[in-house]
Amino acid sequence: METVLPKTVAETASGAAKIAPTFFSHASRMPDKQAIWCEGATATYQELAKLVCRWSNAMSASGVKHGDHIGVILPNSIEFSALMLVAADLGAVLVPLNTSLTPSAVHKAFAAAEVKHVVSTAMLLKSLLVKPATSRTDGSGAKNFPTPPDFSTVSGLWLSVDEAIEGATLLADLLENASPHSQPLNAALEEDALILTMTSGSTGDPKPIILTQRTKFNRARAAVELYDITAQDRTLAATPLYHSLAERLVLIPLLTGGTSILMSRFSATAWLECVHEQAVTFTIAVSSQLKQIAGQLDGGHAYDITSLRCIVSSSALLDPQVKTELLAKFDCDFHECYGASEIAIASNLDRVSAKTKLRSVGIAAPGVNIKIIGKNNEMVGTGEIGEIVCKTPMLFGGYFKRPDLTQAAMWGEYFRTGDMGRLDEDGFLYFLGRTKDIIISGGINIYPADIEAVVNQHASVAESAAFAFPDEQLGEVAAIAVVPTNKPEFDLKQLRFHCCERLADFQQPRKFFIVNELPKNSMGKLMKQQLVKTYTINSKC
Amino acid sequence: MQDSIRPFVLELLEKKSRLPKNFDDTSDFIKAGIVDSMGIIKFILELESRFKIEITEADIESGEFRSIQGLVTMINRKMATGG
Repeated sequence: METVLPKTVAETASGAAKIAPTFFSHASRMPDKQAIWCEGATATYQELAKLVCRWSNAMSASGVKHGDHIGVILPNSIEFSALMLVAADLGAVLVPLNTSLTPSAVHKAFAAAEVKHVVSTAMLLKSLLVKPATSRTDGSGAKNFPTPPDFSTVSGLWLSVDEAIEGATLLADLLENASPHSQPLNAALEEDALILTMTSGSTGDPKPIILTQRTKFNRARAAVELYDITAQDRTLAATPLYHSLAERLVLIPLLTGGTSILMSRFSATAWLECVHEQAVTFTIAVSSQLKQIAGQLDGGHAYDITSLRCIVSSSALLDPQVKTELLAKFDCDFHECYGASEIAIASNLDRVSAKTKLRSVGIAAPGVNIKIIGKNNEMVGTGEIGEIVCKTPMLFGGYFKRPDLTQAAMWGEYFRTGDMGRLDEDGFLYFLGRTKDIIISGGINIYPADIEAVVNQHASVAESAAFAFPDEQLGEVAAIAVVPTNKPEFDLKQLRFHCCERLADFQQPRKFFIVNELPKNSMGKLMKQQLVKTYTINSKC
Repeated sequence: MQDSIRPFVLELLEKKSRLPKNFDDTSDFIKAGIVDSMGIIKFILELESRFKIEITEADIESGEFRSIQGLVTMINRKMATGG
């Protein structure tokens, strides 16, 4: 059934950067090929295409319009992957959120992204559909115990993909509203937004990143060209689908006629088992995952992972020692990439270059221009240190309804990464640190302001500052320095329970430093770098 | 209270991840990645807060802290001995 397949995404779509038509063209040419596997469930191209068509038609019939924003709180699943294609067909915009966010953080994110409809599981919807009650206290010293937020402004479709729940429509019932023979709506344009990625969960100032259909398509295309991906590849996604990396890893195979292998949760053992059983050939993994996997490879294992032809390390940089270890342990093509949510891949270091440029993050990816600018916003010379800026076809579509922030993030056509670096005489980029106040833990961005806002709510806290703390397994974890209002009576356990109630999994501070005061300059401005230096060296807590 | 331990633990796990089809009370939820290094802190705090117990580093390293069955036994024991 399978025909000769084009090598690049560009060829599959006759140059048009449209996601749904490209997927449907593969489905019509090779209906019986396996399109996706997720934890034992599987779908052929024909089965997936039928689900997508029926779902987008049913959504449209239920009032979901082109341009509408759909909040998505789903675990990795075939349904989540299908929903990306539904949105691409319908011209709707997905707002995927971390499944561990608290209801109030979900509420803020929905408000910031102007969400009209919600797709989730019955279990997760249950916590959102609790009716708001009057304010109460939990006796823990919190100034305000969180009251269930009012989601009545999210007035469109509430959809449960698995079980029936009061207040939501069951996906199986929704699909009954459309013919099993539904055709694609093909209602989207290349410049339509497809995904709004949240950059901040619970503060008053989230900055949703717009990723258009064209951006998503170009990002998949760049990966295809950079890593020689073909229709024969079985591409593994082992990070959550609310994260743009996993979205790309699912779209790459579905846009190239390959097979998507989707893990619903990660552990090093489960990853090895999955690669072995599903004969995975390609993946981009978060560097902290690769470190854990490399640890498993130490003691000998029963898994045959020789199907792997290419692995890419992403999200946080590898230190040279770990890089050397991984190159030795993975007997396949190995790349390390550097990038950011707003630009995807900026640079690539391959196995050959790693031999002589181990400490670099590689050269600019195809189609990408990298420059270094100094404090006066002018380009600096070769070898000089400055801010890394990138011009790329993978550029985001701006921050949603924040043209001021979008403009501030640009240097002409170049995106300002906020990262410090230098370029050597051969054009290799060296990453030298971040200037943005952000913690990257297991590939997930954590915003210190989100944590500080919650900790500062507690009656026993005068002020606090969250910062990145080095971690063997996750690269970095969140640490926080706390100035108590009354140190002798301060109860850390109560503060931790307070954080547990109000922050998501990934935002929980792992290290607490109880201090008399925070380091500030003569103007009273917090000197976070000094805090980091002091406490990451003296790591007792 | 004791009868409520298992449903509470099960719900916490279900909130973290869709459970595999063959998952039962003896399945290893750490090995399966249901409670991963990212989610373990909140998982522990939720158990400590709900059952008024203290979970130590040694508890986390123990074989009990890997399955629903083991956790129910551990929590029951801690509640009986006052934490």
